[in-house]
Amino acid sequence: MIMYDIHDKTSLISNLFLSIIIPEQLFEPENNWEHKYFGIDTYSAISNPKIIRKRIELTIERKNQTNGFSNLTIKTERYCKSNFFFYADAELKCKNDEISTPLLWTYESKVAKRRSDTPYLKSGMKKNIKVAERKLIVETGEVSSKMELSDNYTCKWCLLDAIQRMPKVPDKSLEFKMIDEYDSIIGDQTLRFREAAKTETGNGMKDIYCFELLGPGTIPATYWIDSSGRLLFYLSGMELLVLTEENGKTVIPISIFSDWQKKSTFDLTLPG
Amino acid sequence: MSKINRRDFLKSSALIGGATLFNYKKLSIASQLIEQKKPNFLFIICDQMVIDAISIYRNYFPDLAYTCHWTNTPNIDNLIENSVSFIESHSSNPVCSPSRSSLFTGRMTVETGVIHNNIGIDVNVPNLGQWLEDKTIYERVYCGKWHAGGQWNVPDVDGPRIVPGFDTLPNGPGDFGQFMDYGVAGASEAYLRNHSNRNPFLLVASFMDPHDICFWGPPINEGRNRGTDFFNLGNKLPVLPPNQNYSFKEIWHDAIPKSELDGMKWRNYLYDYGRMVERIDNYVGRLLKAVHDRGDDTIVIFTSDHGDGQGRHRRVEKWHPYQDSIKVPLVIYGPKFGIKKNVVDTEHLVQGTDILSTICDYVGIKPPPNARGNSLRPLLEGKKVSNWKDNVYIELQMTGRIIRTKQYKFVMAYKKSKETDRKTLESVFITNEGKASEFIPGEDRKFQKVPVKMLFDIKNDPWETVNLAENSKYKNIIEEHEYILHNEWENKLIPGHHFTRDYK
Repeated sequence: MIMYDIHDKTSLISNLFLSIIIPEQLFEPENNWEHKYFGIDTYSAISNPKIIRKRIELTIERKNQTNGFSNLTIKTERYCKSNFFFYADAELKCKNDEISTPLLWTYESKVAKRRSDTPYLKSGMKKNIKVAERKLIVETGEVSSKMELSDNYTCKWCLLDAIQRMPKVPDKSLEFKMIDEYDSIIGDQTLRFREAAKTETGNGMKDIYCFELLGPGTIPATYWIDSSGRLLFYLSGMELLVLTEENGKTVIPISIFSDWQKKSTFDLTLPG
Repeated sequence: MSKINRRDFLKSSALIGGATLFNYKKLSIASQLIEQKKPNFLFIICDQMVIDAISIYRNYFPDLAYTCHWTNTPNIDNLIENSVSFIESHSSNPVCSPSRSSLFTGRMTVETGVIHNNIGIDVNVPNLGQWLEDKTIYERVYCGKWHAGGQWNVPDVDGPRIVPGFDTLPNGPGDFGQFMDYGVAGASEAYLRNHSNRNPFLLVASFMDPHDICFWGPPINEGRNRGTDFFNLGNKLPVLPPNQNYSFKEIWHDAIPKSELDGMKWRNYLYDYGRMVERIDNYVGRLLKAVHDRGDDTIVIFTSDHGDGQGRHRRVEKWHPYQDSIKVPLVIYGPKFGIKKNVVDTEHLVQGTDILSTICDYVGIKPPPNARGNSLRPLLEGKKVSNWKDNVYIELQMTGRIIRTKQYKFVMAYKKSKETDRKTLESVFITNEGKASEFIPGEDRKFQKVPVKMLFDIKNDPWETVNLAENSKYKNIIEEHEYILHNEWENKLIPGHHFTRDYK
């Protein structure tokens, strides 16, 4: 049994699709939209959905601009101890190309109890970042650094936008440098179309599509989208992102996990 | 914190010796200058990184089955090229909590009381943060995994679940590196960039990965098992180790049977492990850049609490006495403080307890009483050291002991002599009243008197395929190692008594 095999009825991804209602409303990935993802660990998802905890929340908002550009606002909050969060927010100007190549962006991070709070214990940082002449230029305060970059590159979370507009054709494969998440280059990645499949969902058999991402520093990652291009699940090792909201409306209610547990055949125990 | 207060002043005065309050003003400035010259420390700890996972070590681990041939770690490679690193570097006990208790106290785990996971350090044994708090004006900040305070991983900012002697830069909640390590890197990088006080600092950035591999395969989880080349990785899937089918009579976890993990599953396991190592490499790169940007006024120490089985002897995780479990990276950077560049030390036997003594040496204070390590400073600065230790002593879970000498590794462990009424083995070390049972191997009625023994010739049999303990030719070698174990180590250790066993 494996996590990613949609053709194996015991796999995590098959169980996830079986537990959700695929939205009927049309999604237009090339227009303006906002998606909110609920991030959980697959260990809990498989072993004991009763103890599923939100590990990360990611919101991505796309605003289409003129002349083939768009603005992405990506906000993440990771849950920390003592009711703190690690906030990492970015505003990116991107090309509307196949991998949403970012051209100019700001990145801000901190540990705080609320997004509006001042950073706790010197944990705040802001960077202005751009790409020029095949170099990633990162300005942090008064310090500026340059790192070699190729023509093809993108940021990890920009792919959540790009993947929704990507042609679903066999043999589709893209090579590029990955910036993780916004300011550090982790090397050559391959993004490729994996398959189109029909699978049982909470509202019947549906067409779904899968892309996969491989490369240094990347636990093999899969992107699962519906027929209108909507990215429903991102699954990579321990990390599972579930699309919970689209433009403020519920897409996949997180309660699926409690329903899912009743149907689940997984029987695993937590490590001691 | 930018002004020195009276308490700090008194500590500084004690440091420079012979000071009197009469000289307050003058000494206050003088002591500040002295403290300013002291190095900052960035102590990076990762979890479960086998030493041969670092790509620049390919020449030192030439067999293609070593993990370094299947990873790309440019940032750690760069660190090593500008540092002194140690190939013969060992964990003090290849399990998370015990190893960490030893790293931060300089004591062996029977002394810290942390003989198994989820037990807290004996309250009478000071950790590095407490020691620096008491003796210096260093700021001490902890970010990430701790796991030596009880049954919890990551510290709170206040309350009972803190790391004594440290302020907490909160992170976590802490079971999975894929969620938490990015925050550890980001918060630690920001601290490095923002710290501009006169007081020097010790920042601990403690990553969870590549520990996530624990959740990959048996015995814990089959959710990620891939018995085929599911992602068409082809020749990017690592080759299998040559010692997969060698296992010996032991008392630790059994080797994983072929029915649970076959060849392709192992190769996928190794592939994913390599990617976790590369992710950590990226985070290390962020921190190093911040150190360079602040003018290299910081000594960087990089290590791991223990290694990982890597499929060798059909093992995952740690817990066992083989090289992949007990050997860890140890890299120390600090060219502005006399530490040599590009030195890979293959000669000296070192271990986790040496780190505390080394930090104390650079700070200019004595280590806490009974610290078992040696300062690495002379080795780091290229000085000739004629009397460096000729063995390291490693504790192995609760009942095992290892003596590693230059050529050999001797292992012994005691089986339980009978079933106890406790549910777990760790409980035999702690009485029903919560006190330590002061176990020293062979002396407790709950254990058999005759241990299981193993002896490996590490020089000539690096993959540990022949247990020489069964060969009478090696009787003298075994006796020599037993002598070292009993007379140089066990007789001088002081078992812990007062554990903070917080199971809440």
